[in-house]
Amino acid sequence: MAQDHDPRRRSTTSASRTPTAQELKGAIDSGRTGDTVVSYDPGAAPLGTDDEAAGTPDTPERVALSMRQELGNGRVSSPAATEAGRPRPKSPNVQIYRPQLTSVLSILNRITGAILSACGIVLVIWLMAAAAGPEPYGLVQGAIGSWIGQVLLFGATFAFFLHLCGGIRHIVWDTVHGFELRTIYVSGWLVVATSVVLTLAAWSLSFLLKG
Amino acid sequence: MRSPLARAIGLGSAKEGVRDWWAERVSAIALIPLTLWFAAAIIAHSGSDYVTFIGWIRGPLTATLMILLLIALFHHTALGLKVVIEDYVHSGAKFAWLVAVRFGCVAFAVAGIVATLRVAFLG
Repeated sequence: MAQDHDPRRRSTTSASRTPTAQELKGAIDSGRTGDTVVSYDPGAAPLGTDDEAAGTPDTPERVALSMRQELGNGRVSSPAATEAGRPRPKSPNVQIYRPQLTSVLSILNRITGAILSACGIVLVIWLMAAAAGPEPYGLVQGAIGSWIGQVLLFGATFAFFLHLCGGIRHIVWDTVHGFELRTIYVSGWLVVATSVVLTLAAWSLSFLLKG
Repeated sequence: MRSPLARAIGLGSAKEGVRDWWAERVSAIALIPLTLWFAAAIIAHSGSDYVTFIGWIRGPLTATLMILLLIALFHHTALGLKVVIEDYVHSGAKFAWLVAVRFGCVAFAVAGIVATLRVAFLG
């Protein structure tokens, strides 16, 4: 029975044909990928359609790759096979999505937020050192002034401006403005450009004042 | 944040979701001027020594803004990390992480405020 659903059999009818996103979605919905029971998977609903709407559909090679990965190199999985130890694949198939400005900025806002959490701790350590006296303060300043400290501080500055500009973009979205696809891309590139400019401006100014 | 109709028919978050969402935005808005002030001040003190730096923190305006920055920063951090943990940690460790982040943020905020006050009044 399992073999009747094997997509490779269908693909042999036209030798050069690779599976489409619709067929991949079908494989997920019918439970052949082993991560759902046989039913419609809402998590797989945007598969293919989102990218097509954005004008960047996945290449047949990418879909074929995902199909192979989902089906475990062509082996048809069953609940028994899953229990035997094959890791269950997770929807929504992040590995086949081409990174786009929108998705990259979305996850970067989280990553920079996590980085800035660590920077908050550094800020407190710095203040505590200042309160403790000139020697502890000198120690912390020395660590920040070292080349690795300066590289990390440069990264932290960029993370700060990216999170700041990205955050302002989010607040604008919260007022239900700027949701047109074109506007989203314009504001996204604006966030990237502004963050780069502000980071470079901050460091140039700092070097100028240091003399 | 919920419309009277939504409240009446029991839609929307049954927990504290809206409150946290709102607080994250409010703290974010507070952080825009506070972090920009801090960044500008740090750049202005690029070449400063310890005594100049301490003298700057001792100013009542600086100490006030620094404490406000610490409160807004760690409130925002706690809310942001809470969402990240809720999204990615699904094991039993989730509860431990949520408590650790909450405790950590409060502890660091208090430590930062105490350090600022020490510099302002004793330094």
